[in-house]
Amino acid sequence: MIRKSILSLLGLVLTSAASAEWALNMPEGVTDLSAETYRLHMMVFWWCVAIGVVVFGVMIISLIKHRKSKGAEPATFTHSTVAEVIWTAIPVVILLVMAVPAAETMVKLEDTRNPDISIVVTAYQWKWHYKYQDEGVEFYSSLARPSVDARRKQSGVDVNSVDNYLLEVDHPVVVPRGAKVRLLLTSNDVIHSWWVPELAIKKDAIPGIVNETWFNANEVGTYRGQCTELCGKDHGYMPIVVEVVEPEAYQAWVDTRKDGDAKFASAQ
Amino acid sequence: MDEQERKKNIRRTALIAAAVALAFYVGFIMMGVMRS
Amino acid sequence: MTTAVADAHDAEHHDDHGPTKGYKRWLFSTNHKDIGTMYLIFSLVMFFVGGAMAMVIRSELAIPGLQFVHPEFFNSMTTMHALIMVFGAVMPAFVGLANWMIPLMIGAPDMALPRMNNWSFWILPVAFGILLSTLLMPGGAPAGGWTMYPPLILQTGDAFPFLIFSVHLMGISSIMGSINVIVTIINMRAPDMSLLKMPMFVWTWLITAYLLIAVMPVLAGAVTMLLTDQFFGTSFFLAAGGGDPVMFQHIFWFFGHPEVYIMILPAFGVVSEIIPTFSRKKLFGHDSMVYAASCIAFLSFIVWAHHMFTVGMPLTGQLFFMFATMLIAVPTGVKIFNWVATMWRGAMTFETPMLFSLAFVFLFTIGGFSGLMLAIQPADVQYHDTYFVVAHFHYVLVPGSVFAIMAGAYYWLPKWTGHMYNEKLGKLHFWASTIFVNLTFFPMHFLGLAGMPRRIPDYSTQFTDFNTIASIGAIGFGLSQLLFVAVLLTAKRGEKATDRVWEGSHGLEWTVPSPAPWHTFTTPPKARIANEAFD
Repeated sequence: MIRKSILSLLGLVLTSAASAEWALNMPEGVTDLSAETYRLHMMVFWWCVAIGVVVFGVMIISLIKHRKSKGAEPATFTHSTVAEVIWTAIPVVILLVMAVPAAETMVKLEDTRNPDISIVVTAYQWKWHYKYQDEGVEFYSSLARPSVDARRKQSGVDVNSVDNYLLEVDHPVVVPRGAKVRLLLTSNDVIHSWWVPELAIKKDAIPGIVNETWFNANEVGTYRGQCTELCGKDHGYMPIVVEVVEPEAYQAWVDTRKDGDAKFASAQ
Repeated sequence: MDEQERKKNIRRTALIAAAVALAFYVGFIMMGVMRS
Repeated sequence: MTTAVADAHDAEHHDDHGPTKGYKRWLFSTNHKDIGTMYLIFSLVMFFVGGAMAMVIRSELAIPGLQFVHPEFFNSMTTMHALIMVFGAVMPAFVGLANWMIPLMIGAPDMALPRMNNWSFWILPVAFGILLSTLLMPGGAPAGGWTMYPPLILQTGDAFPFLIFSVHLMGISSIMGSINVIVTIINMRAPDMSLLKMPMFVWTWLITAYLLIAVMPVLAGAVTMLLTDQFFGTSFFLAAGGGDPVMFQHIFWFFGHPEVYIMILPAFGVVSEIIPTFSRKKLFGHDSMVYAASCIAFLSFIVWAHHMFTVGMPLTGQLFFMFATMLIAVPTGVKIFNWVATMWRGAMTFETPMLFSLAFVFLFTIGGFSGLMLAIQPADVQYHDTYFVVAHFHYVLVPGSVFAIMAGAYYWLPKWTGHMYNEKLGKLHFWASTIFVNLTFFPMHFLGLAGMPRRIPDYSTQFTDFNTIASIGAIGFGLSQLLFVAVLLTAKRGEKATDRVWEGSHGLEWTVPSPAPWHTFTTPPKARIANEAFD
């Protein structure tokens, strides 16, 4: 009973973000695969805790009991083939138990077939470009103005007063809830990487290569991420914002953007 | 083992080790050439 | 190419005068003890230089907003911090310990190739002089990460060829050093010392040396190809010319993964010497430990792409590298269990070397756990290039490798200096280091999980609190290392050390006087004495 409450308390502490500042754990995210990823993460974590409790437990007992100052006499055993076999075999079994679900998730992560929407993502030093293949919508996405002003060295602006400091952009990626969105990633210059934690996908954007990844968001919301491959001086200043909206809102957004893009093109 | 033999062995081991190092260096560059 | 025995004959000539006086003793040294000392002092200096860079990094990251440095300079700091710590502090420290202790442990008069040994060392100050000078060049020091990925690294300014040159020099130093280690261990062991009878420190260095001669040339190849892409019109890694940026990553990590085992295997060796001594009990499973270390070394060659899980690798590749990486946990676990079994039912005392070794076992294991978590590819998608990775590798490198180096230094210092160091100061250094190292790096696990990427000079405000704690820890850790300097500076004030120094010690190195005479084992130790010393 006590063990159960301690375990659930521990679980609660680790799985909740009591306040964002003291977040201890990764988010479960808003896709089926982000939840699977989270479960794999927790699985390996708990295995490590279990092994740690055993190993550290034995160590601590030994450190207390087997001291010369306590009058301990050293034993003379120097090896045990049985022990070696056991503590080789058991870890192998534990690893197999972990490897199977991990492999299953990996297969799903690779399956980019039959997407509803395809977006070509091109990374630049230091912003993102998005082109919706079939909708004919494209735009650059850069760090939002308030963050740009505050980020300068000794800017004089209190960064705590900026909403979503370093995590806001001028033109976010908008996608409909429940649609399989395929991303085609490449770069115009150096290697960058596209990551949104709540979507649990991260893929490098490499010049000369087109990488693929996909997600299907189950919940409406705004999800923020960052570039995760060192790409030069403003690597920390090219965030990603994905807005998942209801399908009708998405269509409205596409139409507005298409009109806007068309007006812009004809004004050139 | 006498001194001469030990010296010979030392030379031999050192040359083999150096050859391994050289092989990795040249080998990887060759692989780079062939893959591009 | 002379041999150590020939040198010994020459040296006996000079022995009555002792070593040459003045700078020539050091500049032209062919003595493994003097060269070992130079490596260790060089490594300590580099540790502080790299540590100063860490202070710049952690000062900037203490609170959100950019206070002190420009982002470009911040990137130079992270790049140089890593290059200096890896190639200037950790590796030379282990080579220094190897130089001092391998001949003593196997009953050899010196290293097999003493003149090459001199060059192995003296190349390093030149290499690092060149690397550090890039801080003053137009365009600044390299800022593309110690991993030097193209195309970004090709945007380095004037510093670029100097970076490549200094990496080549460091590589040549390591390759020559490891050739020396292999040749010495294979050819100069005392009679009756079969390979399996060698102490663990010697074994782990033999294995490490093989890794080094295989992979340092690969790094050299990789940076040579960067050089030719930049200056000689090749396109190994440039997409526009038909090349592949990812190929660099494959080549780099083929070096890079064994490199991290190169940095930990000698640490395993040191700890395997110390724990038995202070437990007054032989190392549990000596042969098993040798096989486990060999297993780790072999596996280290086939896991490299786990550093590249987000690069766009085919599924089969990802599966293979995940399984192989998970496998390494097995022999590593075996080693940890064997250390614990050595302690179990021993009669332990807790002098400073033992404290550092015990902290190593605890904290390296934690680093190992985060390593296992990183191996799980889907989870790695969330960890890769975040502070979770930074936490992992700092745990295995700082309370891992660095603590083992400190443990070895405290353990063998009386043999080197002839005096017992100040135990109170040593213990203070230990406790301060341990507390602050955890304060610095443990919160980074949370930062990574919460979504903070690596290599950024500023961060979103929800990451503030753990960053502030980490920065406080870093400053504390840095200051604590001054205690180590104090220990070294007062090392000769303590009581005279006996030959054996520590009650539970075993091995040939404890059969020579403290301080060890400039020449030892000029004649090989008698078989009987050798055999007893192994027990």
